[in-house]
Amino acid sequence: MKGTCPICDNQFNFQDDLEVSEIITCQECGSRLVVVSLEKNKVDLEEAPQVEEDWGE
Amino acid sequence: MISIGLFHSTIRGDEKLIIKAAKKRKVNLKLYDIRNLILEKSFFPFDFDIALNRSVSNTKGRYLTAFLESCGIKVVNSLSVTQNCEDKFFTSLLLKKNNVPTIPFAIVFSLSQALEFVESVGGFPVVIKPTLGSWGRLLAKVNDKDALEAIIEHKNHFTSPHHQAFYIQKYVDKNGRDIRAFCVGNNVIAAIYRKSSHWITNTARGGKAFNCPINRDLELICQKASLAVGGGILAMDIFETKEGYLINEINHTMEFKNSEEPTGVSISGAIIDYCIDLFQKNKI
Repeated sequence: MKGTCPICDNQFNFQDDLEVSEIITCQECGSRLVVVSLEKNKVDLEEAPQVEEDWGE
Repeated sequence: MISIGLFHSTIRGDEKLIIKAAKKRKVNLKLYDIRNLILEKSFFPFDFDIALNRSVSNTKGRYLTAFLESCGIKVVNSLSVTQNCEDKFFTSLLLKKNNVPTIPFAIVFSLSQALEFVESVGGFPVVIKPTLGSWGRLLAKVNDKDALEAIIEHKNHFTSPHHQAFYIQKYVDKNGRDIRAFCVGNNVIAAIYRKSSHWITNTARGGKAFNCPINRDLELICQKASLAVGGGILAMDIFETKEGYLINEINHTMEFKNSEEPTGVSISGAIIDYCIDLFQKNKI
């Protein structure tokens, strides 16, 4: 599965176990990204949401 | 075959491990992003046997658990455990009530009350932290009266009223490490030392994880603490002192991705096994 970093255009090749809502880090620019959709081997990525006050364990 | 509803928001490394463990056990795991759900019966997909709440947002997670329990669904962790653990003051009160060794604490509402408490625990330093929060956010080690005044003044300008209830703990010198113990049911399945040169040792803040052997004293305090808050799947943060172990906090949606490798324990597997076991016991 392939995708592109929306910040720096880095190209990704993903493993098959990728999930929608998964957080990944772009190795090129360090941006935190989230998988928004997985369709026909195409992965759509967006910048991940900022950490909110009630996030945690 | 049992079907587990895994309720998540962002999928972290921890959820990936849970997905993998479920596959290994041939459990039907159904993933739901809480942010896409309407918490009302007619809208809700009730096509699972038991729910595992892994929300990274405490607010969304708590409402989801309350909703599911109201519909008769078993949730890991339960609403009462969630409420007992997400608020640090509630946790501390339950630990104290059940004679589980913990750190001296109080909630105060003013600077003068804070100073009174500080004196009662032998003076500075103390730690001020939000009652609701995680990952070491907004923790302050307060070394003197000037710093205390500044922090309370700043907190009084925060918009959320819960920041104006000042949760204070006596500062405990951890010698660069604390313990994170993982409890599933009433079993302590693994523990790590979290080491850091900073006084905050959370792995989310750069603390490094090393295996911590589980001795009988550690096991006993964890079991006591687990019972005090209602059991389930919990992570205990523990300080080592000359007087023995002290429970600092208990986490009800624990993160463990950095702990499977140093401990050699499949924490994700234990979580899935616990859900299966709970569902089967509940069915009988």
